[in-house]
Amino acid sequence: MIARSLARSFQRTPMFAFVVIVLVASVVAINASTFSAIHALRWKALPYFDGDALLEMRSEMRNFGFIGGLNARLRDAIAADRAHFSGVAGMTGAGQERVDATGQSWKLAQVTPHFEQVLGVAPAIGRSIVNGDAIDGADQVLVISDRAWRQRFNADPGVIGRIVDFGKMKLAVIGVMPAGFAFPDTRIDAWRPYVAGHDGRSFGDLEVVARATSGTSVEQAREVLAALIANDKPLAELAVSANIQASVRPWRERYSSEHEKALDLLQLAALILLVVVIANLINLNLDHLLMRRREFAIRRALGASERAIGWDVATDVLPPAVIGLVLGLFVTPFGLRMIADRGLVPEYLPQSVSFGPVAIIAGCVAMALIAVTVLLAAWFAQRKQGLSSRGGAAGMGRLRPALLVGQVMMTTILLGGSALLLRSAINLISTDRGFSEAGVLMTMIDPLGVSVENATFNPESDRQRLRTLMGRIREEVAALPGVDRAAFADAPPFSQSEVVSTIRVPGVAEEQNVRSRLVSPDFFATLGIGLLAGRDFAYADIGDASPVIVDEVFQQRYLQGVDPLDSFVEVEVRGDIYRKARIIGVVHTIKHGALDESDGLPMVYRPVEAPVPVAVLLAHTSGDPHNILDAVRQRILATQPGTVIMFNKALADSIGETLTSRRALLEAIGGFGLVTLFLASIGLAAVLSFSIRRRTAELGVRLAIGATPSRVRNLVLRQGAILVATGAALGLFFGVPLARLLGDRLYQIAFTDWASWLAALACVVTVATFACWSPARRAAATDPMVALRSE
Amino acid sequence: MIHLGKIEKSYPLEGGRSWVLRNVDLDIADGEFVSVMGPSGAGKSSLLNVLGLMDHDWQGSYALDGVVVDKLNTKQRQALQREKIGFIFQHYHLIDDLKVWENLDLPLQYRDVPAKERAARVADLLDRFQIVGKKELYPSQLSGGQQQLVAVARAVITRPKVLLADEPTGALHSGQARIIMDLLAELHKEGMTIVQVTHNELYANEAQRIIRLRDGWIEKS
Repeated sequence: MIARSLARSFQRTPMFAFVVIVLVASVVAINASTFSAIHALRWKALPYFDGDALLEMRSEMRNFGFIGGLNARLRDAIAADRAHFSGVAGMTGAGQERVDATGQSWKLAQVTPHFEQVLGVAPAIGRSIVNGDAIDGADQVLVISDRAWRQRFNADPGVIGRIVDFGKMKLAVIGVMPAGFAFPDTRIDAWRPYVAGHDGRSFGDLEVVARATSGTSVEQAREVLAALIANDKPLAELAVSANIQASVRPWRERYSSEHEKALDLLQLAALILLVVVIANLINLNLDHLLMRRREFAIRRALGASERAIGWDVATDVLPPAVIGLVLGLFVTPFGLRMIADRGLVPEYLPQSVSFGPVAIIAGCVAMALIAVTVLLAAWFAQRKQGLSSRGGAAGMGRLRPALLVGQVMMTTILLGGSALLLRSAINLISTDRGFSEAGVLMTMIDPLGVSVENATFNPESDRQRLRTLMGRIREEVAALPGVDRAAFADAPPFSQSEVVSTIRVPGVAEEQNVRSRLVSPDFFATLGIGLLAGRDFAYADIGDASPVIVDEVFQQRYLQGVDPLDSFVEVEVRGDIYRKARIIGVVHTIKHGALDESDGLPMVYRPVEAPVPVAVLLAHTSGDPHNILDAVRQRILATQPGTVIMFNKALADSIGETLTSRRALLEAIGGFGLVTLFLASIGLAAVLSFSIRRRTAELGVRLAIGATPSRVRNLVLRQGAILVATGAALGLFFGVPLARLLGDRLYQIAFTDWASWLAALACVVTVATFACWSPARRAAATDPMVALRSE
Repeated sequence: MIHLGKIEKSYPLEGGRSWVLRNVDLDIADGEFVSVMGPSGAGKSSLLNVLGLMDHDWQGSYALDGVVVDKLNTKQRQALQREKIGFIFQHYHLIDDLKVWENLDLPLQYRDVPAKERAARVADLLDRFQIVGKKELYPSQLSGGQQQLVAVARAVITRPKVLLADEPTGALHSGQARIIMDLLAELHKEGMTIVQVTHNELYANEAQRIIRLRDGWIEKS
């Protein structure tokens, strides 16, 4: 039946059927993939028992400007509060890479005993980590993921007891977690015990997940944690200096918080697109019905009931809409892939974003909305016997101009939003970041392999040897053709590293937190960081009495009214021991992790030959840094074979990565905006053409009583202009307040930015004028004889 | 006023040509009132379209008020039409969305008549045609006769030399038709050249001369 209807529909009006299929398929794919992504983030079950009862317990170090985890002592204290929490697990080092003896890379996480019980998931094979494993010497055990079990052990049921050899660390497999289990995300291949009290543990390094008892709210959990932090005596000093505040949120928000807003905006844009497509299809269908008016009249005269006519109309719309639905659902997985690739959902989400029932339901709802609205509009138009001419705008009825105004309005809203995002992106890209990324290659190196092979590094005995080695690597890289400078730093900008330390400033009673950087001489020149006063570091400065260089923020905060080059600070040597360090220079403040960050902690640079045991080598070339990528890698490996290169990429690419989600949102909203503009312009042309067809006789009369063709053309253009102006004005009226939603995505502009809205309006008006031009020209060419005969 | 010389008009068809006007020679004097009659398909409306400069796809020669039409380009022809011709249609063809006075005002707007003068001429005509009370109404609020009255007023408001009426009483009952015919007679008395197409023998006889068309030919009387 459907096949026959479709065949007839295609035969009668192939273009109509084709357009319905394409528009329905596009809208179904866009809405189904966007809604699936939102569903996965917001509502899809986490791969744990009652995942919505899990809370992430964190500490916000307000004076440092970041949020971190807790420590083992606080975790134990939370675990002891059985009134509010039925279980607490801790985890650290997620994503840390280790390479085993066979050369396979593992992503490991260290977890506290019984972590799987807190999550409510039992191992599929063997056992999980217990208290006895979390002791020095007994911690050489490993629980592996289902993926690792299948890929690395060929799903061997006898895997328990097998040893994974990480050099000095030989871990015995004690369990396999079930398929689908991921903690904290899908990157992790295996879990090993977290041993509290290991050297190097510091506050904030333990990420804590607690299972709230029924009736415990997030706010109550926060109050509990706040009380625990306040009563933790060893933490008291840090709690004051860092201004530690309790921070608790549902565990799900760990994955969704940074992406929800972008996806909401994407869904809003997708819904706007859906409405515009509906409006267009209504217009198209009304035109289609107009063409069949005579046929319907004959059918009625032959005795067809209204129901039979209605069915006939429906069979024109429904079969292509169903095909559009199927096609759209077929394309949805690609849409989901695109959303993931563009960084609009977290890359390693434990509850995967995949095609499934939710996508199918979302697609069906979108298609049903389209079909029902289009058929209702057709029914309404039929009932009204066409569209009374004086009742609405000349010759178009009320419905079609209203649809058109709505389309122009939504187009203006979307393009206005895109213009704001675009202008914001331009502001962001051109913002002064305090350094120049042009030509800079950033390579993080670990010459001893301490990060992956568990090699040991003894600061006392190895430091000087390693610094000499690092120096040689720097010289070798600097000698490469095309490389004009090379320098080291422990945490250069956009390396996702942060070091905060305390200093004492003369005249300031309290110890102060500052960003602390170890850099080699030539660091500032390599990154093009401008020197405002004094001089750069020299190799002669390196030593126990080395001076420091500070940034503008430091100068403004602590050195107001004094000569910075006549000043000093006290830097931490170890524990409570400080030494005086002379300030020899002041440099520009740089953006550290995001182009839109505001100035945070002051910066203090200290000179070293090279940070050890891991450092970032910065190589500057006058050309494209991608061209020296391989040469730098090879030269490092030739100088020190076995060096672990953790990353090797252009600094500009690192900056670009921080803009991914902004870019994706801009592309998505801009893309939808252009599609709606295209559809609105087609709609405008169709509405005006329809109007001209209805007004053929009137135009003929006008020409017969003396109107020139140009007057008739202007009449039609004016008609279009009124619709466009009304739509654009409404677009501004609703769009500007709606653009508040973009507030946190805008940089150095307000959501009311007139230039962006003006650009959107100009775009709409220009395209709309083109859309009006063709029908207006056709109207001007009306032959009055033919027109009058058509009455 | 009007001179047609050997006017021919035809459409190409697969099996040959379909002739609409054949060898039409016609002279109409200034101030003359002429009726054109003939059965359906005889070419009456086609002749009116040629006379009204709405159709320029014909062969032969045509002079209107001394201007040789066949030598004019489209723009010049349209300008000549605006200056000399007024139309009355069987189905009135008033513009539904405009009020009575706006319908009258429209031809003057198209001739770039200043607003003040337009207002005066519209007021005069409303008064003369005794439709002042209807000026704020829309066409759909008028009877057929009243609509045609407005249509005649619209046709003459530009003071054309020639008034072409295509079955002006065709859609009216006799009472309303009488009013329109009296109006045409009055306009004729004032010196206007009028060409009406009609099927009504009685009204045709009110003209000074009747031209009968059959299959595109003018019948010799």
